[in-house]
Amino acid sequence: MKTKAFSTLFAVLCMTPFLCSCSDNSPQTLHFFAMDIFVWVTKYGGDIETVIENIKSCSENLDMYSGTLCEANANTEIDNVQIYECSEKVISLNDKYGDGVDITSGALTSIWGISGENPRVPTNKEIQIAIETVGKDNLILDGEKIYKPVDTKLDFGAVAKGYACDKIYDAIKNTDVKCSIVSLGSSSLLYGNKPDGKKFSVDIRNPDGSDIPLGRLETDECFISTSGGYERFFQADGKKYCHILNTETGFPIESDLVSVTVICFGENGGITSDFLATDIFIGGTENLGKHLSASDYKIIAADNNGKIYVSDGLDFTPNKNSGYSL
Amino acid sequence: MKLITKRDFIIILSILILAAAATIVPSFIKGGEYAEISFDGEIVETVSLDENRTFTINGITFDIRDGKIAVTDSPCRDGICIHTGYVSSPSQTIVCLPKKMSVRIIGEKSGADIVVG
Repeated sequence: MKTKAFSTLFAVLCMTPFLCSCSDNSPQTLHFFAMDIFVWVTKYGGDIETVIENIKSCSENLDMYSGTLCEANANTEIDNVQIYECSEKVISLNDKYGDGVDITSGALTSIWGISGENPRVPTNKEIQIAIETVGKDNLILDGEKIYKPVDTKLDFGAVAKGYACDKIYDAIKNTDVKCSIVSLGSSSLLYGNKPDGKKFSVDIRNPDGSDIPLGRLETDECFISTSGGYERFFQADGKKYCHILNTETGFPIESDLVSVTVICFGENGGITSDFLATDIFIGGTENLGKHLSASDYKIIAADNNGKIYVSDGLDFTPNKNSGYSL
Repeated sequence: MKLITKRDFIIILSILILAAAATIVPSFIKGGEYAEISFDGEIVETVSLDENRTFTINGITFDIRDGKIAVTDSPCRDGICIHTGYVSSPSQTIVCLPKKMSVRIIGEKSGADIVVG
């Protein structure tokens, strides 16, 4: 017996290097596909399983092309809690910041095949029919259910990832995770404080596809969302169409901005940053002034002349070799 | 009865060797940048970026040139993975959604915690 105990103790001692590598100071990374994108979760210490469940449930409930929302869109009544909450939040953002992002634009998104396998340019007639179904006034939210005309289709493409970041934030606060970086493609959550006491460093991707980033942002806990026409687009008859639609004309928007990153802090920062990134992108340089001076969020934007715009109070260092400058 | 039998000694020695290997080996790998190629979240290949070469995995063609990696051909329709171009900095990724493929750069360069956009 004694021999066995001794060997076991010795074995445990020998294993120490392995165990140390799982300590709170070394990050662990998980990655998987959800919400039509590739998800990265890096975290320091603690258990994150419940947090990941949130990403999966948003994925099941808010995707227009499959699952709950796809079925709900065929009906006139929707009683899914997540769809309800997400709709309610976007409508209150519409009241505050304007109607650039419209969750009732699903029919338009469908006819263009945006984010689908076969994007195409629809006929003018198809566009006219789809535009008729768009408009948040078509929705009635009674505190429990959403009522809508059967042809009005909900589309959370512009906000689902940001909303998912909010759900993750709410869940992660109840775990013993001290620090986590959650990347849902266009929206990310930087949670807590890094074990080394440094700020989070965030590189903003170069919209030209170069591997030299626009620059680096140093920041505390926040939500970050980016919108740009450079990543998801399609070409038809020699013309480039971006994935963001103008709900008034029914056509993809043509913005003189190429990349818009919005940084929000605190509650609901995920959905707000995602919403604003698309909204500001649609508005172009013409409407940038008010966003640069906004107090409740910060932005970093780049236009098609190679100019970078940065809100005051951000610790952002542009990369001189990116082809873009302040 | 001896405190440590020959069998115990072998077990302890092999654990020690394993532990030593686990500590030393990663420091060798860290020497240069390398890329992890995953399909559906599973790493299928880890490639060094030090050697120029072109290869194909699951129908996707990868090219390594001058310490950078790119997808140069893919059967997916949107071609987002190809548009991404050559990447070389840690925490940069190439993603192909239709094929559920991702490339992640691992290395020692002073990478950001996250790349957004």
